[in-house]
Amino acid sequence: MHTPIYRNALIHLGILTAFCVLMQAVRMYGSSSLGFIFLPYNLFLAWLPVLFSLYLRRSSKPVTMAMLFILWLLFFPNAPYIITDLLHLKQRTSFPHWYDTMLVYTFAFTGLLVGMLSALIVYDKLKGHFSKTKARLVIMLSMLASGYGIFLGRFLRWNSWDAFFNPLHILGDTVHRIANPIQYPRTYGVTLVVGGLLCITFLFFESFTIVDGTNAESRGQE
Amino acid sequence: MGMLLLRMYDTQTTTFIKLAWNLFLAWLPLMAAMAMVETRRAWVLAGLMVFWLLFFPNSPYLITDLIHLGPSPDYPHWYDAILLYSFAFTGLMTGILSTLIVYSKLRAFFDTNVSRIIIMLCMYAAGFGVYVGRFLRWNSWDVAVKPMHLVNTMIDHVLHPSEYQLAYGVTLLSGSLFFAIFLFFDAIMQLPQVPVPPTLPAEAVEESVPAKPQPRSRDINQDIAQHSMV
Repeated sequence: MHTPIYRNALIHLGILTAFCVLMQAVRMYGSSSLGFIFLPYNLFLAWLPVLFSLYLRRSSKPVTMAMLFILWLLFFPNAPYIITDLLHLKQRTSFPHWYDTMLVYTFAFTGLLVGMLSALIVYDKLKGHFSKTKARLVIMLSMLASGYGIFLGRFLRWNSWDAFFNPLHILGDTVHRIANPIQYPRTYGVTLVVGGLLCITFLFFESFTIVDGTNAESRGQE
Repeated sequence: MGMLLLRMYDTQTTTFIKLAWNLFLAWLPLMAAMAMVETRRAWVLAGLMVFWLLFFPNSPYLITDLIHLGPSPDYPHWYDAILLYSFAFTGLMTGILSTLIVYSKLRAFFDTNVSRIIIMLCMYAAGFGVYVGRFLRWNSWDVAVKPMHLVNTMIDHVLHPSEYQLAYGVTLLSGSLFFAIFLFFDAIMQLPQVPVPPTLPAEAVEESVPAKPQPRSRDINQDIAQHSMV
């Protein structure tokens, strides 16, 4: 796919991903086991929203754009989801603890960066159609929705594609939680904490692109 | 910080309080880098550079605090995981930001490739610094307080590589990781300078931000460099 703007960032994320996979290979070879084999799979899932956001950037028909945006939103939680794989960390006899820590952290960090890049691409596209404030609001709401998505994935064990296969079941879970907030403190805790963290991280990455002189001028003109 | 306070309040314990201290230490290299932007005198710059290099390992050091992560009876495990990750992520960000500032400053004196090699060596030095901090329990200021002891330790490590596989493993692994992350951030800093691609339809281009399509070759690094040269 021909994407001049984000080519550099994509190449470097590719390098980081290769680094992750290499670390995983060393661990599998060194321990002769399949421990943490879910990490590469999760990182693969984390790349899917980038794919959708790149298609979204190139599409111009409203229907296609809406579809791709929904796909992006459904798969975006996979990117920060790797953070929750840190829960699997514990002292093991089969491999040094510090290596496992670095391994999971590297995957989690790469996943988050991949997600943030896709969010930036979507944000850029939104800015072409709405005002900057509206675009930012849409992204912030998406980040909070992702916080909930991570809860659904981690604790209720749903996948992104279950939104198509089991929509009523997920909707039921959601309605139940909205109706009985007191019974589900963990749902609200995870959603708010992770969603808030994602919002802050996105704003930080957005600030990287605003510092540039060209964007500062355009802000002055608005 | 808010997350840590919430945990301390809820559990009435001071577990993980050292995270706050470590994050403070992680901010020091950024302060050194900010000071570098303002200064012009060569020896002040060199001093700040050494200070930055000594304290830089504190930023990624927060990652190693993840080793303390384990199910604890008094608080939800997921909250601890996100707490530690937030600290580690923030620490790494302050570190990388300080590196980008130092890099831009270096480029005012050397060409891009030389600056990049210097940064790469610094990142591997930082990898070793993280090892020294995590496993030998040294602090940044021990370099000034008991330098001879540290020099002896390092000579020992260089002379007997097979006895210290851990040191080489941690140094190479984290050094490569830091450098790869630095290169990524160096790449995204240049994102906005590229014009809107021709694949966009005409009406979308009109609606988009007016100043966006200007193919300007300035980026933040050069901005800082120019600012500090004035």
